Amino acid sequence: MSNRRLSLLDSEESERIARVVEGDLRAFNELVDQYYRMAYSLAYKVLNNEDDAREITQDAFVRMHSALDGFRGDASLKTWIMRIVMRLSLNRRRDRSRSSWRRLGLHCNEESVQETAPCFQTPEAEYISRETRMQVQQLVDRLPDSLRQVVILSSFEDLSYEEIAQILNLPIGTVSSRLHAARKKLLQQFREHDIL
Amino acid sequence: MFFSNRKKQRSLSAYLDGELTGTQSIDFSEQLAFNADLRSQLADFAATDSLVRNALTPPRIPNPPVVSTTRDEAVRVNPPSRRRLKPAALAAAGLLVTAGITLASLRRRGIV
Repeated sequence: MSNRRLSLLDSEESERIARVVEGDLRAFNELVDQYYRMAYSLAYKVLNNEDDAREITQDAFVRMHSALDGFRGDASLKTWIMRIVMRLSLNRRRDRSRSSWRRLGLHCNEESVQETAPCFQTPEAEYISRETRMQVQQLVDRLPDSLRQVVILSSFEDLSYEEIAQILNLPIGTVSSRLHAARKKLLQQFREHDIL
Repeated sequence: MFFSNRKKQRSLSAYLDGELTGTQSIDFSEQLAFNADLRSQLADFAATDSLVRNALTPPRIPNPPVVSTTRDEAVRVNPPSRRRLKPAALAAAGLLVTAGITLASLRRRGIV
């Protein structure tokens, strides 16, 4: 892998990638350790289900391991991993919605919504009842795909518009306008449901 | 700087996300200072974001799985156990053959 191809990566990350490509499992474990939390969070936010999120995250790292040799380095490793997780999660979501169980309307929204309260709630979150959480999740879930994806990614505070654009393969302007449209739509919905 | 209504709207999200440049951010802050509606809209968007962020946050995040490096290390440091067992199996087989030949030889001589 040439240095030019990994120009967007810092030297430590480039070195780690090279070690993984050479078959160093310790280096791979370091990568998993660094990005697992973020990858799992993204999968969970798209799928709203712990088992699916865990499976998709592991699948994403397996794919990442086998594809790392071809990683071009024209985006950061973080956005590359997020793109893999996003694609796999959306595929799973699509498959799930096509399942006969769902087609028959036998699923209920509560099934996909976590019953337990977050164990690491911020003081602000403590004010949000479980019912409100479920309502918000459902309203986000009902957004058109194009808006929902941007909303989910923007909920990661450390992702810039540029990174979201790279993950979704969109122009930055489109990310900006979709995010604004999504906020307006959600705000309107929250008001209609007396959430805000 | 004059902001059109549409531009104000778009800038609102970008301002909230810290995506405006230094000068743009200062200009927009000035707009906010004189526009109560805009301030109220900004607060609404911030509250919307907060609700979404809290609702989407996973209740718990499992520990990352660890890929076992034991096999890898065994290959590097020691020969695999299968290879270590092979000479022992060969020695046992050799002993059995030797014992068999000795027994056959003793039988032929009528000793056993």
